[in-house]
Amino acid sequence: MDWSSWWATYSTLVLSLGVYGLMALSIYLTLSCGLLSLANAAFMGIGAYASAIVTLQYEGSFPAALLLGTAAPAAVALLIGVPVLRLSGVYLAMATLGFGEVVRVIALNLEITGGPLGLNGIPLLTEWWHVLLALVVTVALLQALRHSKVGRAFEAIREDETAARLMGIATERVKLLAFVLGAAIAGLAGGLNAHYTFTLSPGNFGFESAVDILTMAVLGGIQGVAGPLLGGALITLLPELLRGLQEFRMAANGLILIAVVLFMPQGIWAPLRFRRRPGK
Amino acid sequence: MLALHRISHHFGGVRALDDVTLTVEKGGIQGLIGPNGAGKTTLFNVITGLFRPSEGTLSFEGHNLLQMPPHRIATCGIARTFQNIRLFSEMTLIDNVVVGMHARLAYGTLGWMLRTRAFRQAEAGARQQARQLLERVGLAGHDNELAGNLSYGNQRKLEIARALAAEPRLLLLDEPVAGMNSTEKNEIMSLVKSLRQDHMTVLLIEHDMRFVMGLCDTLAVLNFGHVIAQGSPAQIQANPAVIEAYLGQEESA
Repeated sequence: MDWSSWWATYSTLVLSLGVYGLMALSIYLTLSCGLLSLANAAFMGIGAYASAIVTLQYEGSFPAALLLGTAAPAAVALLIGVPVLRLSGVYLAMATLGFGEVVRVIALNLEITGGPLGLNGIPLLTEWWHVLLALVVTVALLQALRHSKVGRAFEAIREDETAARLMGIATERVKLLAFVLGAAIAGLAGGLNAHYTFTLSPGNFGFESAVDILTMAVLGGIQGVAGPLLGGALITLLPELLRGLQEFRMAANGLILIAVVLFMPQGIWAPLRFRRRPGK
Repeated sequence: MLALHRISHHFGGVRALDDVTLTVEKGGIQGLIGPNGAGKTTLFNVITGLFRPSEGTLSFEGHNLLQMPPHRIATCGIARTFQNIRLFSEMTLIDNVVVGMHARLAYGTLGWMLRTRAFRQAEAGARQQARQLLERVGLAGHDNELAGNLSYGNQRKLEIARALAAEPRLLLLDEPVAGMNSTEKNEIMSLVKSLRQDHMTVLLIEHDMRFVMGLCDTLAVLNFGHVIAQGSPAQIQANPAVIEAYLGQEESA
């Protein structure tokens, strides 16, 4: 198979690897701050719709579309983050899932989003290097953040929010930052996604997708940016790799996930596992 | 320096603190003692903003602490340790201490995004200072171990180092030597004494009487949410109300 026919067959898969890598990074950001937020699929949807509307209905440029696709979910996150982030644990998970449903139903009913039919004929503007660039910039940003006082504040809040607050960390603001930044990354991923899939429909960003994204980060591990990238790639690739099993494909997929979570509860990429214990 | 005036705090029907008036003078080491359940830790939680008292006023160096969220109180110059240790156990020792400096690291968002010179200098300086603090509390050479792997006594030392990292003017220690052996107790005692040279004021809760009497300039005794006595260690030891609180009343014949 020559290169161009290989690319014609697999370009969607390759681009999805990058886009779902971004999604896994976006939820890693909130998880690393101790927030179990499941709103990322909805933020991806807002980003996808916002950017597709720019190129499809206003004939705007691709950069402008991506910019709006990143900014719109971030603005929404800023608005809902203030009340929602007062919750924690499973309550936060439930509230953010509820938010996801609200977004889905709104997309289902608005005219500008194409209602239940969604948007069709979105121009195919996403090139492989757009996705790669977005990934590189995001990884660089998250790495810089991890090794700064903000990253330490995330980690401290995850481990003991009360103690973190008494160390002078403005925990509400730091959590809001994680939430908004996560939404921005998810929105960027959504904008890129919309411009290679040709169509968008409200069902793409619902409950199932929210859980998939969480699975990516948990499976890969959240002790660094490598984990979510690995998890995102794995969840995207597994159904393809298991194609030979035909109807048992999704069952095998599920079994592999169960095995990984059972035997590697910290995820596949967990450098802390090898940390030296005292006296050894 | 710190003034509590007629502070009351109840949990449902229980008056954990009842009309507590207490001042902490600058520069000294003051002890807070009393039987279990007397309200000592509740008092610390009120001072650091975790609990809002039902009544009373609370000021620190002229600031009204009752209008501040906990993180602002911390940046005002009050740091604490916890009775039930609250370290960031999956972070390294040095990172635990550097978290204590959070509010003092002044580089902005662009600083860490672009890893500017100011950012790198501030971070390197913080690590350097954290290493010195670890050395000061007797944990030198364990910088990159995880806090959760430390022994109980060493975890208490790390908590003190983390609190000192904020460069507080008032340090609240909640049972700093609980569960320590006598060698470790002596180490903590000389460490707390050495804080006088840094012009730090210390308010500490402790049950170990040898430690308290040997260290504190003044003492306050709390029982059932009331301050029942205040004074020098010698005065407290001779105070009949204190003896009664600890040993019970003599049965009248």
